[in-house]
Amino acid sequence: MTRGRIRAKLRQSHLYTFTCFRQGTADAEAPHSFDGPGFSRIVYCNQPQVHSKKPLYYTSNNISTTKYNIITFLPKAIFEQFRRVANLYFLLAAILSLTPVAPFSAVSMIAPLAFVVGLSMAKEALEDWRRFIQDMKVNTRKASIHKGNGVFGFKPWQRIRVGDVVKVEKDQFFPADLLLLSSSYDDGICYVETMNLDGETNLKVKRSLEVTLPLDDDGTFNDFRATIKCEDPNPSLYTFVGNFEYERQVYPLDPSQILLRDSKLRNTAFVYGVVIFTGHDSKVMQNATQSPSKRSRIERKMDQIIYILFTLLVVISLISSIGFAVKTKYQMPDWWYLQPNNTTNLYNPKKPALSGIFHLVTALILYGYLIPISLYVSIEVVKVLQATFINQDIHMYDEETGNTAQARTSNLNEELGQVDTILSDKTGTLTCNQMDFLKCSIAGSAYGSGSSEVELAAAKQMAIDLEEQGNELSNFPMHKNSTGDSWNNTSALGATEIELETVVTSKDEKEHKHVIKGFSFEDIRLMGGNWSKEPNADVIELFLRILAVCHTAIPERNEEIGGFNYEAESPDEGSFLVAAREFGFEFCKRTHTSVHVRERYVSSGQPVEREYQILNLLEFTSKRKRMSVIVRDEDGQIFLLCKGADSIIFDRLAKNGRMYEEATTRHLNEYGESGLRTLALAYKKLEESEYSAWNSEFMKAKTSIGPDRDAMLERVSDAMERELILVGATAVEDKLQKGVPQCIDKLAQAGLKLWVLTGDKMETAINIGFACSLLRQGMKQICITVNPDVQTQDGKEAVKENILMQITNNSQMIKLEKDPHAAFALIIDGKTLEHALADDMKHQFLGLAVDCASVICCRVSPKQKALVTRLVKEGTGKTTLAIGDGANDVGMIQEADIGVGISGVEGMQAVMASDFSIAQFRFLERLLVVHGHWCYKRIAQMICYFFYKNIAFGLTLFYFEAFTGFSGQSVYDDWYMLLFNVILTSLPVISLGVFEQDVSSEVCLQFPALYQQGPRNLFFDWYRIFGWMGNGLYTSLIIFFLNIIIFYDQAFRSAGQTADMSAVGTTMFTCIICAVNCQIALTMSHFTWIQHLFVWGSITTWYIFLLLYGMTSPLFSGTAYQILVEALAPAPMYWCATLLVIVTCNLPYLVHISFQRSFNPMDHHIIQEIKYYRKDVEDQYMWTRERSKARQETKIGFSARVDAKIRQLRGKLQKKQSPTATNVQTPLS
Amino acid sequence: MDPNGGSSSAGAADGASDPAAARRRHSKKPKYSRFTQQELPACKPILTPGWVISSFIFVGIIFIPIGLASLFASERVVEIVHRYDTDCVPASYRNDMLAYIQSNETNKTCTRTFLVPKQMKSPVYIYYQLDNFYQNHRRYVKSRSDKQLRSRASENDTSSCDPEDVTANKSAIVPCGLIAWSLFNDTYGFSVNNTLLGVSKKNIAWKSDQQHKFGSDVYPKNFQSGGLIGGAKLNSSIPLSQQVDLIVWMRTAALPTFRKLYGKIEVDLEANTELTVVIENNYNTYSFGGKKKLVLSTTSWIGGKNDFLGIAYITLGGLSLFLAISFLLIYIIKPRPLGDPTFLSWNRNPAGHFNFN
Repeated sequence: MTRGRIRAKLRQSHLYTFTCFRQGTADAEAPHSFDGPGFSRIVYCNQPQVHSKKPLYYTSNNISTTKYNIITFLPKAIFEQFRRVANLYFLLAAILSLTPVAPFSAVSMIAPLAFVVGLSMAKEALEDWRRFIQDMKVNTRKASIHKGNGVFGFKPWQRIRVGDVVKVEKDQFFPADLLLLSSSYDDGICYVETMNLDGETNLKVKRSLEVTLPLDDDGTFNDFRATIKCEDPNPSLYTFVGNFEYERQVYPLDPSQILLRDSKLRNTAFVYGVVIFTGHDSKVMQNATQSPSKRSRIERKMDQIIYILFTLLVVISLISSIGFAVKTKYQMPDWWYLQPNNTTNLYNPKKPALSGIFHLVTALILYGYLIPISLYVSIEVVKVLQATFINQDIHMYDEETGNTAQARTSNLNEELGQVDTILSDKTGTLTCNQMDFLKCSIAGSAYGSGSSEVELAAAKQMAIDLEEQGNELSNFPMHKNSTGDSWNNTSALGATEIELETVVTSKDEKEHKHVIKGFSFEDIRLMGGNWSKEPNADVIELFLRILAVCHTAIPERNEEIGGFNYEAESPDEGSFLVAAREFGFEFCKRTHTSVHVRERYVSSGQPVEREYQILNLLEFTSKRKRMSVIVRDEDGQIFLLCKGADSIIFDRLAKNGRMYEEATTRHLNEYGESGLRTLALAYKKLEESEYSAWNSEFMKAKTSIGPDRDAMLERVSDAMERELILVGATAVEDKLQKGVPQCIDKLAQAGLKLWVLTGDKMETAINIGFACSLLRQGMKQICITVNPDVQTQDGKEAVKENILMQITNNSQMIKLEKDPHAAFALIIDGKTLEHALADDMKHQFLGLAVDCASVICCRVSPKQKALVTRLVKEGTGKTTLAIGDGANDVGMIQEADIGVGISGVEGMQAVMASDFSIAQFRFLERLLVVHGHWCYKRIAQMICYFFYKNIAFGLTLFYFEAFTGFSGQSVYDDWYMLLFNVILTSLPVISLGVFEQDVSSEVCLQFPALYQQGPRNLFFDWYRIFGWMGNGLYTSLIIFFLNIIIFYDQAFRSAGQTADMSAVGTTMFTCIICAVNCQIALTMSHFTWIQHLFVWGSITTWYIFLLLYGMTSPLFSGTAYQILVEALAPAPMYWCATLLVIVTCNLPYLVHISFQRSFNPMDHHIIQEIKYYRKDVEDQYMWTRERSKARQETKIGFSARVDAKIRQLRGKLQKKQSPTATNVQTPLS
Repeated sequence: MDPNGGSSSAGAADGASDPAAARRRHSKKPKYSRFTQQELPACKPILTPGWVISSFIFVGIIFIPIGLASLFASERVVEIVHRYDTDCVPASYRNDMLAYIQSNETNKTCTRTFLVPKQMKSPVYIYYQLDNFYQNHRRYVKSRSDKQLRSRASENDTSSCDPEDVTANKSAIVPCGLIAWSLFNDTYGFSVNNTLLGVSKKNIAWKSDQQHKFGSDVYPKNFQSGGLIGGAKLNSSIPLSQQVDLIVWMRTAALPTFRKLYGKIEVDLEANTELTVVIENNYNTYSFGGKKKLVLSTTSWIGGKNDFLGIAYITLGGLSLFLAISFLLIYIIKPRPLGDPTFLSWNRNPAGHFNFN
């Protein structure tokens, strides 16, 4: 844990057991000697003007995270655009369309490309602009700078230069990397919060050099001069090497004097510092990594499809050009009407190979319609709109922080619908990092009637489930016995309507009553001084005294309320102090040697302030898992007060101190089960002589220098903390974020796996596991740890072997497990993980982890988080989602397929690195189950349809080629083709991609199983993709050949005219437009006015276009001049042909979907029907039953907990019944 | 891990206590609208058996009458197709038909007679049908100049007409291009019982072509004057807008087999009338083995004889009815009540789900 988090004025370092003395008194005094590369930086303090010229000019403090600037935008953005293969192809096609090779006019190639590329670039520009604005916000922040003559004034951050002296006040960010000169504390320390850098919430102490301590006033900087020689900018956050030359002395510098940009000054009124690294030279900026650009699974598959289509394109182009070469060589000499002897190389029968090669280019351009040029841009438009919906979702708006969900990158929307594993951070994500004192057990009796969130939620869920259960098994006696009458009496329907969400709200209402932060205790027996009337009043008093005295916190007067706030090392401690205060033991003052507690409910009635002399403080470490203070009270009696993990304390109890052990253990188990963090409290009375003997030994250990010091201290402390007397135990709720258990439960029901990766220690992690129902009683916990004996005795190999053995043994155990309901939880710590993530072991580890219902990794470093994420992502090949709030989660967020950041808390690092940000963990459910599900289906359907329509259209061009001697003539007018992708078929498919809903959002939430359609990829598997492609092929064949046969040679109207190329082409094109638009209408299941407008509007637009186009000058419209008005519309044949073709094209799909719906309906089909016939209203019982069945089988979440309980009850019941009633039927077997 | 620095602290800098920030926050709340919350009223049609069956029946009911009507109309059309390309070559030239057609000395006139099988009501349309003639070849299609055809001012706009754009002395050819150059030049004269039948060329071209695309002030110039003679020559005193044969010819056909309107006979032809046709067989289809046919046909509302449309409609209608019946039968035999939850995946395949036993 942190070492001194104590107010510096106290200079308490002598009190701290394990605090090392100021580092390196002997050896480090010598200045670092270095020169050469890597250590060339020289900073003249307080002389920034020196740094405005070469060679001492360093980068300004202006930062820029934009990708482009005004000059580079065009070339760079264009380059980015044409890195896409498809765009490059279209660019080539557009260039070639300027040559005679092109089958159509240049404008029809260039216009769509310009449109598509322009739109994408506009999007880029907008995004970059946003980044620019954000940079500007940072750059224009004001900081107080020494302006000369001891006067400080404000300057924007971007104008801070190296060498400036900066004054930073409490809760401000450091504008650059600074050398700490002095602080408001006498000994020049300050507290820094580095959340933005490493995600650690605890404060770090920085210490200035002794020599600069006097520089603690604005005026002293008037003639301050010093030189810093140090390392060059580098990304290492925890190292710094430099020398400080001041008053002709050279002092070495180390990282403890360096204040890093983007960290925050806490608990210190002000500090002075000298700027060393500015802007992009600062450590944090050096660390900035480009967030990797992520692409969704669907998009990657789409690329494969595009490659398939490219292959198809090349194949048919080759067929075409070979056909052309053959025709040109053997037949064209006979076609006198083409003047074959008078040709260019494009059609030269004497050089068929050359002509063939030219024609290949023509064909590649001509059949380019197979590759949907507008696909990328349409997808981009759709995703941006989808992202807007995510951003606008009012259900994901957090009232408290005022944050909405933000889709920061829109290209992963559909990936949200395919998530398989969630990797979550704990603190700040699952929990608020706020502790509430909830229960305690004193002298063997339990106090505190409040119930934890988990208990509340579980109780509610149990009520619902038992209700449903009960309805189903009305003849099953168990349920009456176990649940009592209350469930039965309530109207069945009413009760079942209770949503989990109501649990959350009820909890909310409750919270309004408890305004005291960190205290949710409810028990009249202890409140308001009533404890003194309890039978064990003296023990209770002692208990409360321990709470008030045994800690390392500092009180801080709160002027507004008049009470005290506590700056505690851990939130647990804070909650103890708050609790003690509420019970009447108010910790009010800490001096060098004593703690003052104001006791309110003493027999005299008047509050009394008692002083406890602190003799020794045995600090908390993760190894010791306990802390103690040795105090002398006002009566001169010496006590050792101790609190610690129950197992540790119980081991150290005296024989006469075990009076309450049994009862307390029972209570501790209960607390643990309801997800509370527990600590046991104990004390012992010391005789003066006993103490002084020990103390002298302790002092000896403490002042010793050398490697054994810690071990010695440990041994001495251990000797003291024995023979304790148990007083009681506390239960603190690590407050989960709102709705977390419910959300986890729902996500589990949707078939998602949740891994918790936390930097916390194992016990905390396990507690939270219980609180979130990731763990439960009856679950087999597999703890994989490094055996300390092995570690010390043998080398690394032995450790590895040991871990491997643990992994294989446990895997074996899981395999041999017969009970289908058995659930396993894997708990592993960072050290072990280091070995488990090694290449030769990670697959075994992953195998084991995948078999377990929950996985909790504790004490993991940010890097390990990323490595675990990578292991899951690559090892299982499934989509992973990482969610976290701190900078320590950045690696994992960037590594995962989808990174989600929790916004609203202070650090923005995670959010900045994330793909989506949400304000609270609970919004993840809606983000995945509703938006993810929708977006997945939308994008999948959209892409399939895109390929369908372009195949349907592109192939007709190919067929026609066979009838033109493969000459490269298109049957359609250039303008038709130009409009095909850009106008006539794009809007309906965009509306499909934006508005399609298979089921409403409520149903998505009610039937989490629907989510599984995504991870199982039911809508974008090859079967479906090829189905759609086949449909495209069929449609193209029908459209082309029916039209060709109908318009073969006969007059197509009563006036005797035969159809020419434009009539045939226009009819075919009408058929295509109508057929693909009808097709999309069949595909959609959700029509708002927008879809109606777009689908039917597209068909109408085509006719309007044809009409208008026909009205333009024949020089422009060519053969299409007045084609609709004069030729086609009056001809019944035209209408008959289009009707026939459209129906024929869509008939097979209609048959397919009718057949599928009738005989092999998917879940959403049935739910649609239920909704359509309002069966959910008529038969609410069925609806509720199905909703509860629609869950995936879960082994985590409180549903699982309830199931386990039900199984347990049923097991008991059957045991009871079997001897008496042999004819009991087994229900539901 | 690596913090993604810099701009990152921007968000964090907004002070929590700042009232302006609070206000800004407040306004961040998305406004409720049915659109942004994706709750727009929507119709969600589903394919109920009723819908499926009735739509198939509907298709059947609509399509079969249309099919019958068009088949009936097609049956009423009387059509005479007469291939003459080989028959019109004298027997002595049969082995070298190309020489025959290319020679200037041979007599190209050919008289054919055939019986009118059924009464043909006027107007009887006369078509010529060519085969294996790639009017849709890209080189051919592109070789024309709409500008030049339209107005005299653009007479020299022959850039797109390659290779038939200018004469040897660089003066523009009007009309230029391969299409015009290869104008069909067989002619037909009809007589019944030695009485000539008038062939009307009125309205055989599209009105819009005549009025807007072929200029009334554009006269043929330098046409067919080069060394290579393609097809028909044009009377250079008649403006292009009156050259209907050219106009019809220049509407390029979509397929290598095509018919084009030659004219019409505006008297009824009684059944069993012996029709004599005097054909000037000038056009060279022999080099590429194309057939030439003379077609006389009446029309109905759907145009010429086109059984396919009717058959297709009837087939599709029949298929729809068949599908309707089979769906009906399937529903009767193996009904699935709509919205029946037993078909939900977790009920059909409970293994993967909750199973209280």
